[in-house]
This record gives sequence, C-alpha cells and structure tokens, in this order.
Amino acid sequence: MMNIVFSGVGGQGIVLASKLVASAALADGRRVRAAETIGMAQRGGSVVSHVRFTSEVGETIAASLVPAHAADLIISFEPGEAVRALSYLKEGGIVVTAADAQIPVTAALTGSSYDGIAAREYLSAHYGAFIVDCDRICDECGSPRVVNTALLGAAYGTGLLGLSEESFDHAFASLIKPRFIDMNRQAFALGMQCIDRRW
Amino acid sequence: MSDTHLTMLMGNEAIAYGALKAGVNVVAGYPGTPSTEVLETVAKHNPGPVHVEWSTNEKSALEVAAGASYCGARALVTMKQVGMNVASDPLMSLSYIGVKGGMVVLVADDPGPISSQTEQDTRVYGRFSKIPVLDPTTPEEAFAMMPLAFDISERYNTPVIVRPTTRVCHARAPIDVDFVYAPHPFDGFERDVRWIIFPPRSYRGHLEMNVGTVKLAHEFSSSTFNTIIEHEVTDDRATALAQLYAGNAAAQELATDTSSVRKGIMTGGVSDSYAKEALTSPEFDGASYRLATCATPYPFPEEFALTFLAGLDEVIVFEELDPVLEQELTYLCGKHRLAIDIHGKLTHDTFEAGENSSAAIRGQLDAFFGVEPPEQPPAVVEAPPELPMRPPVLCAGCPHRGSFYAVKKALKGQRAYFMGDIGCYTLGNAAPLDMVDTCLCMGAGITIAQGMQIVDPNAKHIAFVGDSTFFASAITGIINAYYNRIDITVIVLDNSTTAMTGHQPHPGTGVLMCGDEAYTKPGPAAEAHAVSIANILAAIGVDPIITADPLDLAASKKAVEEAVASPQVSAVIFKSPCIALGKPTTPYTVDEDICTDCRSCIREIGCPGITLRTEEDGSKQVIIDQTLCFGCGLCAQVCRFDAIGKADAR
Repeated sequence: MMNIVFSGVGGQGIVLASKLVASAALADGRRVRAAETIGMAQRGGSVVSHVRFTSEVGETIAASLVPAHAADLIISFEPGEAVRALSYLKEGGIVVTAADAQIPVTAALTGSSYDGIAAREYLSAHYGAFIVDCDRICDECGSPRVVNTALLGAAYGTGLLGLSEESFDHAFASLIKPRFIDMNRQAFALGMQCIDRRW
Repeated sequence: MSDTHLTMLMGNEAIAYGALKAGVNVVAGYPGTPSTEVLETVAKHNPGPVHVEWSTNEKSALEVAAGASYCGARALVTMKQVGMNVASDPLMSLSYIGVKGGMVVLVADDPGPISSQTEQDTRVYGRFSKIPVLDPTTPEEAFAMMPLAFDISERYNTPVIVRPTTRVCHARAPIDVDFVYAPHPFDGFERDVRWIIFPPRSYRGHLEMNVGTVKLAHEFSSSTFNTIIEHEVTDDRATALAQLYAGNAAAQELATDTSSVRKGIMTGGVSDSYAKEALTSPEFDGASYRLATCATPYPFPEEFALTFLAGLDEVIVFEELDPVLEQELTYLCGKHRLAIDIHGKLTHDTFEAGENSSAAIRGQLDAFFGVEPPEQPPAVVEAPPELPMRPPVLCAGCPHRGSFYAVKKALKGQRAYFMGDIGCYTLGNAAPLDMVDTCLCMGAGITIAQGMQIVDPNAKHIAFVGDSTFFASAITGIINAYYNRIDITVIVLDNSTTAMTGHQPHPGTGVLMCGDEAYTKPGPAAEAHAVSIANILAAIGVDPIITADPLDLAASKKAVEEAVASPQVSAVIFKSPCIALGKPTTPYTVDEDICTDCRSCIREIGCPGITLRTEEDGSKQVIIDQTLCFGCGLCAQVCRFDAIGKADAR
C-alpha cells in the first residue's frame, strides 16, 4: 500500500498533482482511492489531498483518507505546509517539498517572521527531506505553473512510487491539455534530476 | 495496463453518472459545497435531452423537480445540507402528496463542518418528513445507489433522499461508467385530486406513508447495501464443535449460529471505511466482533438490526453528525427487551461533533475491546518551528476588497453595524477589513439589519449581499424593509458569478446550464436575458440605487455616503467581475525610492499580493508579488505617497 499526502496552499495546483498520481496508479492496474479539499480552504488556506494505491495484488483500501502516521510520502508545495502535514508521515516516510515559502498576508499584518527557512532546516535535519528548487525548474520551463509536475518528477525520482514511466505518460495525456504536455514533461524530468543530484 | 472502463471519479461525479444511468430527465439545484459538482457533472456530460438548471434557490429547485415528477419524469434535486432548510417547506408537503416519476433529493452533509454554517444531519430530515434516506459509504456505492433511489421513489410513491457527506462527495475512486443513457419514458400530467393538498388528503397521506415506511423498512432489511461481517476468533469450544461436525455442513451451520461473538460494531456513511481501516490494526487480530454497515438509515431496517444484535452484549456505533443509528439501536433494544449496551455519541464513547477518522475510531475501538495498540506513533524529535496561520482570505484583486474598504471609509466615525452573508464575502470579516459583524444564513443580513435598526434607530445598519444570494433569498427581505419603512442600506456585491462554490452562473448573468450554446456561454444572447438587480430594486422602491465600480475608491466612497444619507432603504450595487472570470492586467509595483515603509497598504486592505521582503541588512521592504497581483489598483489608491504604480509605467 502506498499512502501519499499532498499539502500546500489553496490555488497551487495540488488537486491536479494528486489526480495525476491517482490516474497513473490506475493505469498501472492498481486499486486507487483519493480525496481532496474543496471549498472555503481554497482561498489561500492550508489544503491537503490524499492518494492511496495498492502495491500488491489482493490488497484492499478501506478509506479514502490517509490515516495519521501512515503516509509513505508527503509531497508538499510549500515547506511550512510540509511541516504541518508531518502528523500524517509514518516512521521512515519521505518528504518531498518545494523550497519556496508562500508567505500569507496575515504574516505581514501580524509581523510574523515566517520565511520558510526554519521549516526547511527542520525538515532536512529530522526527515532527510528532498527540497526541490521549483522556482528554478519553473524558470527553465518558462512557466510558473509547473510546480506540480516538477514535484511529481522529484517524488518519482525517489523511486518510492513503484509506478511505470508509461503510467505517467498516460496520466499526462488524459489530464493535461496537449499544448502544455511537453512543458510538464520537461518539469517532471527536471524534478527527477534534482533528486539524483540532491539539489 | 488496467480495465479501460474504469475512470477515477469524484463521489459527486459518480452520483451524477448514477442519475444518468437511471435515465434522469430533469436536474435542478442550487450550488453549495460539498454538493455542487453533482449538477455540474450532469451538465458537462448531458447526452442532450436532460434539462439541467441552477435554480434561484433550493425551494425553487425542489418544486421544479416535483412538477417534472408529477408528469412522470425522473427528477434529481441537488443541494447542500443547509439548502434543505430552504427546500423543507415543499419537501414536507410533497411527502404527503407523493410522486409519479422517480424523484431523488441529493443532500450533501458536511461533518466538521468544513464549509458550512451547521452540522445538521439530513438523516433526521428523513425521519421528520417520513422520506426514505440512503447513506452511501463510498463513491462506488453512491453510483450504485442512484438507480435504486429512483426505483424506490416510484414503487413507494415518495421522494427519496440520498445523503452523502463531504468525504464521500470529494473522495475519488475508480468506477465503470460504461453505459448508454436512455431517457426515462414519461406520459405527462394526469388531473387527479391527489395532487392537491387539503387536510383530509393529508390525513390519508399520513396513513399511507406509515404503511409504506413499515414495508420499506422490511425491504431495506434484505438490501445488499446493508451488510454484516462476522470476525470470529475461534475459541477452544468453537474449534471442538467444528471438528465434531467436520463433513456435516448443516451441523456446522448450526454451530456457527451459536456464535461466540459478543461485541458488535455498527457503522454508517464514511465512518464505515474508517472503522474497516482501523480494524486492520494488529491489536484487533485476536478480537471477535460482528460489523454491520447500515446504508439505509430511514426507515431503519429493524429486522436487519435484530439479526446483527442477536447474541451480542455490547455494541459501538460509528456515525457522524447525529446519533441516528445509535438511537435506533437503543430504541430497538428497549422494544425487544434486549440487554445490550449501545455505545456511541450519547454515551460519550465516540466523537459528539465534527468528523470521524481512522485514527480516532481506532482509539475508540481500543477502548471498546480493552486492547492496547502495539506500536506508538513516531516520536517527535524536536518541536517543529512556528508555522504561520493561513486563514482563507479574499483573493488578490478581489473586487469585494474595494467594496468593503469603501464602506468602511465612508462610515468612519459613525456608529454603524455591518451584516455579512453567505459567500466569498463572508471573508470580509478578516483583519484588516473587519467588516462583518453578523452572519447567519443566506439572505439573513438584510433582515437582521432591519431588526437592529428598529431597536437602535440612531445607528447605521448596512447589509452586504452577493449577487447570487440576492436572487436566492434577499429580495423578500428588501421588500420587507421598504414596506415597513425601515432605513437600512443594502450593499450588493455583484461579481457576476456564484464565486465561493466555483463560479456557477445565476439569473443576473443570463447564462444557462443546458440548451443552445448562445445561452450556455456568456455573450450578447445571455446578457440580453440577464435579470437586472437595479431594476428589481427600483421596482421595490429602493432609493437611491447607485451602481459603482468598487475598484474606484473615491467614487465608491461617495456612493456609499449618498446611500447611507437617505432616510429610507437605499442600495449601492458594486459591480466588478470576480477575478476568476478575467485575466490579470499589468501588475502594480512599489517604487522603493518613494516608499516610506508606512505599510498602510498592508494595514488597510490586507491584499495577499502585498508582502514584505527581508533585505540583507535584516530590514523589510514592502513589495507586490508580481505573479499574484491582478492589477486592480486598489493599493495604489490607498498609498498616500504615490509610491505604487503600474509595473510598466515605472
């Protein structure tokens, strides 16, 4: 069983990322369950999505939500949100997170000094997290909207997912508009590379 | 590769496909999280002949569906749980009148609540109105239940409620939707006194409902959606019995009947999957239990429940919202004098409010079985760093920000109270705008303002209402103000869409959910058909009615001052489209040489696009996030030093 929690801030493209993984797992013949946050939290709030799929024949998945302390992998679009999602992570689980902090408007109002650095250091020190420089990948791909596929590439690069590359081709083809597929493939590949190089 | 017919569907999409599979002819609803995607999915995959509409509110939707059903058509109504309160008037009476074509009322409940005002339980509406309720545990089950719901509706002459909750509505699962839509045949309306509600008719209807309820409870008792799983850990006696009767199937069955299981679990809705997940934990390997899933909470399947209860000493019930199944079991034990302890919300053994989860249910089952979890959660190595709060906020460029700010400025120094309402603009309560003093339910701000004005006539009472809410439930309230000569000011926040629920059209847009493309897409034909809010206000007698652009701060402030000065009900219509409907214009930027670091821009309007950059020397500089800025220009109007301008002009 593979349990993945996606975390981030509403509006970052988390739902598409979770749909891509679910669709890839389904294409590989796995049983899949998923769940997402919709509604008020989308307006800049903290959001999480869950994807669960079977790793072995005969396994079943009861619930759509990943239980506490059961996630094999947290894919986070924001370092602070990765820390917030840690209660889902199981012992030995992996964290892949975008490096860049999303500073909430309330931080500027209340004088909070949040900048994501402490969150990144905490993740690196205690969880061996993979910190992905998504800004750089977005620059290389020429679009700020490929953070989700860059992170998926990085998650894939960890080797943990156990899904075929073709399954992601299938997922991209079914969920991304044709004219954006090449750009997202490039982001996926750069995400994978950044795990190899441990940027 | 896998079965190509399987598609990952959200629960709400599955419900929509289920309705199409049942040949639904008419679908009407009002948007509301977590129900909205049901109607949208039918519209998106409309094979052609299905009439799909966003009605003005849930009461309208339910009555439209009832009319279609009277003619023999199959009709689906969709709403969130609080929408049921609006639709309850026709629903209660319809229960007595009955239906002809199958009629399903899809009501999505929201335990938590995650995006709602209440944690009300629609299963209780089922009992109250004597209307059957189906309660799916998963998206797959929701898909399979829809044709059954239409079938029951026709056979039992009653509307049927299907009640998913958020975690079923927004869960995704692979579902085979390989079917061909075949419209349900209908033969039209036949005149009959049965369609006219009169006291004697209601008396007869009441008796008929009671008969139907008993009959349906019996049918539900053998429904494949209600299941019992026996997990018996064979003790010595049972092993001996099994050996004794080896090879004798009939005797073995008798031996199984003398089950040693003494503990039972009953689940409803999404809690079923949580309980099943929890029961895979290793500490329950040695536990014997019987697990019953009840997917038909009303009328409660008593025979099914008695089969479940046979031989048990103790039962724990897992359900969200109200203790519906728990009370049914408790009642049943009293009725049949069964000495069984029923645990749940009423005995404080499970959560009394909010959502359940696998982890919480695991803990509650540990206590129920008296076992300890073998492993402890991973130890926290070091306290994590402080994380910022992320309350939901109005988007960068949201026109509501300008509207709230203009009203705030116009009423500065006056004693004034601000009534909010339901929609994105409830977020006007957040700092620094802080412009929502009350929020109750759809349209209530307008009438609450009147009650306050009556007892406190020397203060100003301002009611904010969104455009979709205006049509849904504000108009009667404004008429009330005019008729009763109560001086309030109504601020209509017209962003040309139902934004909070995901941008559904409404009467003010003229855009429809089905039919000719000219009417289903924004454009001249739709605009020509749009209902004018200003004309409605004028017809009521509201004076003045001023339309203003909320992104023009000076003009907006003046409009509010003029409206508030009027001694009778007055209105300002702030008209500017939701940013989701358009594309951003050139972003604004801060001229760092001019900026005095007064931070008024941050303190006054709270736009998420304005933030602080930490310089190398540790000082802070106000900057505008160029990817978030929509180019609305409100901050440039707030800056006293003229330090903010269009990025390309500097």
